[in-house]
Amino acid sequence: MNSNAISTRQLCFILAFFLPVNKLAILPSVLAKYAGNDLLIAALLPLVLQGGVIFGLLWLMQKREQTLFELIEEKFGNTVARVCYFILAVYFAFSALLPLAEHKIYIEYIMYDSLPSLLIFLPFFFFSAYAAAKGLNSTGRAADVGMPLFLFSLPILLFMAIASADFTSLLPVGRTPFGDILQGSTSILSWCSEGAWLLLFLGNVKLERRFLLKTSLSYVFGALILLVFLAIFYGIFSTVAINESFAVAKIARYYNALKTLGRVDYLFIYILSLLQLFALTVPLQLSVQSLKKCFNSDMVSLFSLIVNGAILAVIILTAQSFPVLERVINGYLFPVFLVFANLIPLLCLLFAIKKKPKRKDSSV
Amino acid sequence: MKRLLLRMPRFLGEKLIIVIIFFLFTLFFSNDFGLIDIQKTAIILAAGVDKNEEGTFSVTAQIAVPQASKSGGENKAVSVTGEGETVAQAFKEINAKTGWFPKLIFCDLILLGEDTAKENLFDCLGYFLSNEYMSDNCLLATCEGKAEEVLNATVPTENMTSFALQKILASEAKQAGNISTINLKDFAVGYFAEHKSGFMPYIRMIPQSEGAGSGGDSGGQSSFSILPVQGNGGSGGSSGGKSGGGSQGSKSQEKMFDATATAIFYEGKQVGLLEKNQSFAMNLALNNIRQATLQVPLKDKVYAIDLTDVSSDIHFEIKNNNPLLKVSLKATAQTSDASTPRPLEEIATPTQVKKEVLKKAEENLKNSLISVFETCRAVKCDIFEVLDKLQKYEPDYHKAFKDILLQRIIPSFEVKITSAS
Repeated sequence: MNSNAISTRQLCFILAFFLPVNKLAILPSVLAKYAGNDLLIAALLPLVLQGGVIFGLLWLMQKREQTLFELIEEKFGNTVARVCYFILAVYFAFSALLPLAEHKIYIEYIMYDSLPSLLIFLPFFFFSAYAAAKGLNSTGRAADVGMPLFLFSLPILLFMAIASADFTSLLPVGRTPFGDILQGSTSILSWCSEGAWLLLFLGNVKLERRFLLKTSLSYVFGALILLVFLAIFYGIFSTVAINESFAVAKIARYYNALKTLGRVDYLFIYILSLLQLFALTVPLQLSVQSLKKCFNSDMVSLFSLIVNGAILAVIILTAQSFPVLERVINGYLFPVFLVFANLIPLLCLLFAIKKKPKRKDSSV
Repeated sequence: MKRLLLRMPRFLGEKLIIVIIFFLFTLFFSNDFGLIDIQKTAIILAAGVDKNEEGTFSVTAQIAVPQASKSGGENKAVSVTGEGETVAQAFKEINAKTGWFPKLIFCDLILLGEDTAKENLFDCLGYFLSNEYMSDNCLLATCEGKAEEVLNATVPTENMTSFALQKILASEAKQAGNISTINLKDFAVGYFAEHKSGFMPYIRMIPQSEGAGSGGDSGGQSSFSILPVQGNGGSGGSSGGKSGGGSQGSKSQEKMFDATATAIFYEGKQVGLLEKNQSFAMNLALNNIRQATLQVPLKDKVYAIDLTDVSSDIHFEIKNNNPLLKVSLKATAQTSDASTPRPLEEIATPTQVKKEVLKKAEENLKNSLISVFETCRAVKCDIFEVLDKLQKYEPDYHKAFKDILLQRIIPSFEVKITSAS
């Protein structure tokens, strides 16, 4: 076990608190656009798929304390492992693109009462460049910080919103054509691609008792929170749900007490934004870690500057065309997420399963 | 170079980096420290939309203009009207006329003129609905005549007309069953639902009686009028602040507002009007009413009874291929007043309401509910959202009934009012 490893608790926090928080802005309206009142079914499909992948990788983590690099190296050699890690680095950077662009416009619309300058989002990259230059254990520490941030934000926002929701809006269940539901599911694949994160956590988690149970339940908790959020969202906005981007910042504003207290819900939206920033840095950290392993170099600062600089350049170039970026990634490039977040983890599992009998043979 | 890059975090000093990050985060989350150039900003409290004969929109914005003042002297509320082929263009004209950048973030009321409501409202509401900087929680109402006239009226109860209107349309009034309060989001949900129906309060101006501190002509026609506002101009809490708008130079006659009527809509157009009793019955059926007062005329007396624990149930089902709607209302009553003197025993026991009063109240409410339903049915307005219920609870019949449901439906109404003791 290397010194870079995170604890089981930290992995649980990542699965429970980091995974749902960046799915609360645009994703609900995208789902509503395709699946209408059956948005829960459309959300469930990728969540179950991702859950299966995550469970498989958690099982693998428990079975073999090998990193992905070691697994590939053992099977295909060092060069292939390096190439794979380079491809993974590119993928992680790419997977961070849409959530970051989304968060940028979320911040601009929610926290400012007129369109602010592009410069206003740049501080994020100072933070992410610093965080990405750190090891995986900094991701774990961020998860520790994320736990109280989560508990003092999203549950309170959901509590404020639930009274305004009319859950009969979700009826009749299952009447939307399956093709539309499937289109809804595929259109959110980019948001449900965190299964790939666990590839880099392989061999980098300190295993504790009931590791599989604790981590699996954490994922289920995060997925349930998202489903509850989606149900409340559709219960509130119903037929106008497709118009309601930045859903998480809007659901609580119909809470009666706000007429007297003012928009105190913003306090919790701010706290949640902080947690979202921590979660957004994870794929960038993983990208830098992949490059570090690929080049077998300690120049993490350089890698961090390259990764963050590249993302920043794309964000600046697409500053005024988020809808195009969203349509291209979710509409045409979703197979990339299917491959990296589902197929590759499944292949890793297959390698591991295949290796098992060989081991028995050799021990015999 | 390599060594420098390797040692960069340490070279810069990790603590320094953390301090810089915190500083930058402060910028990130500070909302520019909320600093807006108040001299160039129009904080719109209410917007009125009128449709002109040429098909253009006149948008009247009631704007709070906070003034720098050490002594808490008078602030000014300004009504500015802009015109354009779209609402956005009309706001642009306001900006061009005044140099103020209109901010809708505090806009809590959209008032629609009579002519605007005759055509599809989403000609103009679309602008407000798609505006990310504005809350769709703002109140919606239509009015007799022009919205501009209503917003420019002087009221004796408040410094700003928009505050007076917001108080009338507040959720407290909704909970008493008197006003059919609705916000932009809920109206839009109904419009985009399959039933395409909705309602909103209908505001009439009532001239104040003689000697109410008014003076001058009717005014309200100008496209730029200044209403004096006292003190800090805070949110609606300055009751009693203005003892006579007329005495402070306003040319408008003082007006009061009546919002007890309800305008009903189908496909975004106003198709009818529910008067006071009908609106009251509708509100009892559709909303969670905490306490409502009902007038019950009986022989030569009028009783006022307080209804509490009002619960309503709107049940829809298809039975033997017939769509059935059952609206049930239950409430507990106690006498609060009567038009003629009552014996002391009766005053002392308000919870014992006479059976004939209860019976008459039930009958009146039931008739009002029937009248509401039939008025709405005649103009295709699905006020009880039966089409929505068909889709949700009887989806198998949806295709067969969706076009003929309102004509075919068999309604029944049940009102049960019991004495509190």
